[in-house]
Amino acid sequence: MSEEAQILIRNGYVFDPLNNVNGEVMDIGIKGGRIVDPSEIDPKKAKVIDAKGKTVMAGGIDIHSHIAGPKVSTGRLIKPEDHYLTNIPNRLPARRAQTGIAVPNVFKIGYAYAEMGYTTVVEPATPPLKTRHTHEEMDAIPIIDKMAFVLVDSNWIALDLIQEGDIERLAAYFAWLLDATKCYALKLVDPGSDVAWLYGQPSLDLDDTVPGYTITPRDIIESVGKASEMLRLPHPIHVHCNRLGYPGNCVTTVKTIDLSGKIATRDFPSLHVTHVQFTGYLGDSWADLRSGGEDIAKALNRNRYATIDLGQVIPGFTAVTMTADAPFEYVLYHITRGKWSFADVEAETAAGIVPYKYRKKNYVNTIQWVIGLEITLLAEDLWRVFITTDHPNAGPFTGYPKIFAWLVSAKAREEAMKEMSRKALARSALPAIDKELTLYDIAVLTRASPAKILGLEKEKGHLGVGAQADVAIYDIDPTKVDLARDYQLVERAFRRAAYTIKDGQVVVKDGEVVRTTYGTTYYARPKVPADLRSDVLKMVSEKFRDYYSVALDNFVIAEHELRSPRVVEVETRLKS
Amino acid sequence: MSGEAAVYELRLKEKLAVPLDARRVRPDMFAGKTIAEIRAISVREGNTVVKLEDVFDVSGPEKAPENPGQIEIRISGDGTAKIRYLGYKMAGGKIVVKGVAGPLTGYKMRDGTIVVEGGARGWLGVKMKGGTIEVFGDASDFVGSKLQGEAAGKGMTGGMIIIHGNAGSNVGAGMAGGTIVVEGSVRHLAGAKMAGGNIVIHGNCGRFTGARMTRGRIVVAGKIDGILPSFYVDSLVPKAKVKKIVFEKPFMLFMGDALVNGMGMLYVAYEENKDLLSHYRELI
Repeated sequence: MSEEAQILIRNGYVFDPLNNVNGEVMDIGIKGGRIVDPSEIDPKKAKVIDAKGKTVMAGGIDIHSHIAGPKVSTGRLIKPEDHYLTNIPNRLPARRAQTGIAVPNVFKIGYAYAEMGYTTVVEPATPPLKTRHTHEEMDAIPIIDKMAFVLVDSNWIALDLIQEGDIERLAAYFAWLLDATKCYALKLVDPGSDVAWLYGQPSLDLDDTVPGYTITPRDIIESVGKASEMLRLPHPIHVHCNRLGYPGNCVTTVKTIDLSGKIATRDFPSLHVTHVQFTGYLGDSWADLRSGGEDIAKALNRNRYATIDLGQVIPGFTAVTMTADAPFEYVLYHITRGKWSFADVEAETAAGIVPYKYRKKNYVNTIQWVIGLEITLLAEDLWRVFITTDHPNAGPFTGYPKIFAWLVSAKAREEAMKEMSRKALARSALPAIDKELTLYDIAVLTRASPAKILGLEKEKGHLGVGAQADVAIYDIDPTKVDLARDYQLVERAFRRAAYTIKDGQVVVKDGEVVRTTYGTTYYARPKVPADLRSDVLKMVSEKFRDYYSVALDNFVIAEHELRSPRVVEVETRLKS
Repeated sequence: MSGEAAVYELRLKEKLAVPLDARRVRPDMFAGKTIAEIRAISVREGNTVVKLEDVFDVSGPEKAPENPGQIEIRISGDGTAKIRYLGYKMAGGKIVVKGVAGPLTGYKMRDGTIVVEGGARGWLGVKMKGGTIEVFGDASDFVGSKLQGEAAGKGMTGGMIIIHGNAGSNVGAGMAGGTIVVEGSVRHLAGAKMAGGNIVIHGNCGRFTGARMTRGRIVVAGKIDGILPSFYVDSLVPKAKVKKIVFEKPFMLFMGDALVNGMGMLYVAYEENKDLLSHYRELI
C-alpha cells in the first residue's frame, strides 16, 4: 500500500447513516488508507474522482457468506458443471482468472464482491479443527477484508463445560479457542444436533435433550450466549436455529429470538439469528407451508437485543447448500436424490453438502422468497436486519443487486411475482405490502448496521474522518432517478460499481477490477486472567488427549500463518 | 451442400505448442465477412488472444456468402489436435479437418457438417443438438456425452455422429436423442445414464454397457464383455433395425437399467456372444 496515495472524491451524493448523512453533496478525502478532511488533500497531487451525479457509500459489509473452508472446496468439487464455460481469462497484472457461478473460485469471490462495492466479508462457520484450511483459503481471496466465526455448537469440550454449568470456564475456553483458531466470534449451528447426528438421530428441537448429556439446545444457546457476553465479544453469538428447513419451524425461531433478552448484559445485541428465511416456515407440512415473515418481524420488533439476517432466496438458480447442520442436509438429500457429500469433524461438528435448485413456479420456493422480503419490509428497526443470501445456500452473493431492486421498488417485486407460484403468493402478505426502501436504507442494511454489529463502527461502514478508506461509488443519481420505477437501473448500478476504493487504492473502475490487492483478516483476542487461562489450558490439553486425533500444539494456528492478521483486543468481564 | 460453396482454406503456420481455443472458427461467424475481417477473427492461443491470421494462412473468396450453409472451412496443418471448441454452436455449413480434431469439437453444435479425416480427441459432439459429425479415424472418450457432473439426459439431444474407426469409453453417456454409429469397437460404459437416442456399435463393446440408462437403444453387433445384472432379458429377435441400419442376424434384447426403473433397450448379437447369452436363452 502506498502511504502517500491521495484521492479526492468530488461532489458525490453521500449516504452515510452512521454520521447521519443522507444524500448530501460532499467531498471525501482519502490519504494514507484513511478518510481525512477534504481540506487536507492537495488537489494537485491527489487523484481527483468526479462523482457528480453519483452515489457515494462506504464499502459494503456482508456478515454471512460461506467463502472459504473445507466445505466450500467440496462444494466446488461437487459441481464441476459450474466451471465449464464460466471461465473469465486473466488480465494480468490487474486480475487473475475467474470461474464458477454457484461456488466461484477464490479470485472470483474477491473480485465479484469488489465489483459490487463490498469490501468486508465474513465466513460464518468454520470447524475449529479445519480452520487452518479456512485461513489458507481466505488468504487467497483478493481485495476484501475477511473474518471467520468458529463453530462451537456440538463441540464436546464446550458441551462438557455447559453440562458442568461453569460459565466462567466456558468463557475462558472460548477465549482460548478464538485465539487458537484466529476467529472473530462464536457460531452455533442447529445446537446439539450434530451430536444427535453422531448417534444416528434426527435434529433436535429447542427443548429436546442432547444425547449423551442432560442439557438441551436451549441451555447451549443460553450458556454460550452468556459466555460470549462475559467475554464482551465484538459480535454476538451467531445462531442458526434448531429445526432449520422443517415446516413449522417458525415457532422455534421465535422462541430462540426471545432468548436474546435473557442473555443480554449490555446495550448491544446479544443474539444474531442467521438466514432466518430457512427457519421462518409456518404450517404442518410442505403442502400447507406458509410464510412466518410477520411472526418473525414481530418477534424482532419486541426483542431489542436480537438481530437477524435474511438468507434471501434468488429463484431460478441452482444453489449448493452447504451447512454444518448435517441432519437437515440428510433430509434434503432424500428430497433431491441427487449428489451429496457428508462429513464428520471428529469431536466438533459435522457438515453436509447438497445441490438444490430454487424454481420460480415452485410453491415452497416462492414461500421462501417471500419470507425474506416480508421480514425486511415489516421490520421497524432496519438497523437490526442484514441482507444476505447465505451464499451459496439460497443464492449467490452476486444476487444482492436483485434484492436491492426488490426492496426499493414495489414494481420490481410485482414483476418478479408474475413468474412465481400464484398459490403461494395468495397465501402470503407480500403482495399487499407497498413499502419501498430508499438508498439511505440500503446503506443502513449493507454498511452501517453490519459495521455496528461487528463492533467495527469506528473504522468500517462509514465515511467519517478516521475511517478506513473503503468507498464504493455507484452510477446512480438519487435526485434524478425514480428508484421505484427505474429499478433495473438500481440493479445495474449496484452490480457494477463505478469505483471501488479499498484501503485508499482504486481497485474497481467502471465495474472492472483494475488492481489485485489483499485485505486483512480480523480476529478477536479476549483478555483472560492468567490463573484462569492456565487452568483452562490444563483442562484443554487433557481433553485433547482424550478426544482429538491431533496434538494440541498442532491445533493452534500461529499469527504468522495468516497473510495479514489484524487482532482486535477485547476487554472481558472475567475476574481472576 | 450446394456445389458452389465458398471454400476457405485455413493452414496452420507452424506446429501448435499450446491449446488453441477456436470457438469462433465456424461458418456462421464467417458469413457476410470480407477476407480481411475473417483474418481478424480472434482466437485464444494458450493464454493470449491472437488473430486468426497469426496462427493460420487463410485463403478463400474475397467476400463470404451471407448464408452460412454455403461456406466450407478446411483446416489443415501440423498439430490440429490442439485446436479445441471447433464448430462451437455451429448453425450450418461445413468444417473439414484434414488431420486429428482436438477436444470438444462440435460442442453444442446445432446444424451443419463436420468431417474429420483423421481421428478425434475426447468430448466429440458433446451436447450437440443437430447436424452431422463424421470421423474417419478413431475417436476418443465421451463422444456425444454430457459434461461431467451434469444430470442424465443433458448430453447430445439430436443429430448424428458417425465414427468409422473405434471409440473410447463413455460413448453417448447421458445422451437424450440423436444417433451415434461406431463402425469399430468401443470401450466401457457405452450409453451410461442414457435417456434417449440410439447407439449402434458394429464392433465389440466393453463392460457396464447402458449402466443407469432410462430410455434409448444400444445395439452391439460384436462381442460384449458383460451384461449388467440389473438388465432383464426380454426376447430373442431375428434382426435389429435402427435408423435404416439393418443387421440380419439374431439379437438378444435386454431391458434396463432396473436400478433406475429404466426402459432402455440393449440389443446384443447372439451368435457372437453365445457363451455369455446361452444362460439367458433358458430364461426366456
